[in-house]
Amino acid sequence: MVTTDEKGPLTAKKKSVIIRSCDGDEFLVSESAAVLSTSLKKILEEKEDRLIHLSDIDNKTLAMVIAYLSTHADDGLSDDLKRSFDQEFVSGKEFDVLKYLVLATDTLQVTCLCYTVAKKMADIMKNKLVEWVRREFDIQNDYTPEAEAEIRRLDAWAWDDRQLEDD
Amino acid sequence: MSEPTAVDWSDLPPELIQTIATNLQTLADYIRFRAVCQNWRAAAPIISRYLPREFPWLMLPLSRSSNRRGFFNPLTNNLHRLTLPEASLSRRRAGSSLGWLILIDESPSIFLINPLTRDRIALPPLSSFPNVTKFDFYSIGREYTVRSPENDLYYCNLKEMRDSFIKKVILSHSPYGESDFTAFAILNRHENLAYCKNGHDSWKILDAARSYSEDVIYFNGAFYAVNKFGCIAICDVNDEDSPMVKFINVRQQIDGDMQYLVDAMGELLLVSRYLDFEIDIEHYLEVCKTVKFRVFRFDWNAQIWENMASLDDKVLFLGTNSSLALLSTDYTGCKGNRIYFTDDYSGANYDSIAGDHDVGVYNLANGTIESFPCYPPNSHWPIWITPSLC
Repeated sequence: MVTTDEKGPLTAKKKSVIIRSCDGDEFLVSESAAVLSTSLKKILEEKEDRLIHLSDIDNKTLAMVIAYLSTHADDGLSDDLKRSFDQEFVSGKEFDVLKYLVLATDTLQVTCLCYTVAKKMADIMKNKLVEWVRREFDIQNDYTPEAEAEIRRLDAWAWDDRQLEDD
Repeated sequence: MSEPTAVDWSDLPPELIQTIATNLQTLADYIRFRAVCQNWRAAAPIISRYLPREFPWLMLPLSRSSNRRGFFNPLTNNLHRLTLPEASLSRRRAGSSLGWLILIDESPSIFLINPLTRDRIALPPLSSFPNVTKFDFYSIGREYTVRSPENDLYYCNLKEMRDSFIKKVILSHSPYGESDFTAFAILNRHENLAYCKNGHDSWKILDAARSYSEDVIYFNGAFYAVNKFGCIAICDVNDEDSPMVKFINVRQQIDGDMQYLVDAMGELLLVSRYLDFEIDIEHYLEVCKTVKFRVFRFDWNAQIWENMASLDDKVLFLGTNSSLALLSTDYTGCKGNRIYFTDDYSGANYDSIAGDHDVGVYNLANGTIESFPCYPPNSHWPIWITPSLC
């Protein structure tokens, strides 16, 4: 399956590349959009192949990153429009979606989006219990009960459960 | 086609963990983030450039039933409870600077304490000021002998010295920093200025700068002190044996009842505070209330204070704390052009009369004052402190 990017059919003049997600979906992306990712730019510089396979990014996440790259590569859009696109891009997204997005943007080295997503995640993590964060990231507590008790004792003020949320 | 491999989220690249951690808005969030797992803790160290800049907290009165003290963040409305038996009722707070409280005992000791880490650093005691000629615990009620600038000797008891000898102490640098810090004190009764370097065992008095006792800040590598008329004494104490004092005499009328100096992102500001005096008939006491602030920026070419109609996106914190300016744009939900203030004048408010402390937020745009919750009577003054872990 080849999906053209959202900006309509590509003109013949524009160079494009195909990016394949780990679950096999392929995206046709203009080179000008792809090179906004530092990692993709390096790959394109190093090899002639117009097909890039990303073994650790799923199709949903990849589609989002490509939508971002295409928007930012569009010379017809003003900086203001791009900024408001960025704001809307992260708003309303589930934490579970954001965490895959932040990892993908880190892997692909899309610094600006990585920062925007990380900021949104940090905003959501505000006033959250540690247990909430561990659950969302599926992280096992690797402290001994003694070590965790000591951590909580050191900065006890930051653990005041009355103000913290678990959902 | 390959299935996505399961991500081990505890093992994210350290720089990605840092990117998320450094976007957290409060210190408490950062502390809990570090507790998620050992990898995250290692990737998000306690380093000042990583830590969120916490909005100043208002230190609330001691509750009588416990050693815990409330610290109120007026931006988030969070109330943090810290165990801080050191700041007991028998000690007076003579300032807060760079995250440290300055406490004075009834015994001569003066010390710094960081309420978050409870690290403690002793400063030279009250008895080590050159104008304190004698300290004797056994001369009850007249423990201290003090020499006035006119060379007269007089006696003070423990409580008087604790409460009225020093007006305010500030620090040049954080004691956690790499460079040595200097503590700088405004002495109340004699309107003198004094300083001591980290690790030294006595205070030194700057005789040349007497009466520059309204406020002092550390600015451009020197201590800038201001008098009632807006004139500045620049005290360079880097060479301890020969401190240099330069004066800027501003020839203009500055009114207002109290003056503060502020380093607003490199710009030197003077803030004049106007008080209204009323008689509390019920208690036969004079009560002060802040009614207005005026803000000036120093014009270095013309050597005058230039009136500022607006602070724009700046926010000031005034009181017993080291005067502080922040950018509202650094804090979600923070409005600029505001002055957060506490009462730091007159001993009369020390054992506060009606419990109605003069504390609030002044809006420079329209001159209105927004109040904070009331404080119990007979409590210490509230004080601003910028929480700091390093």
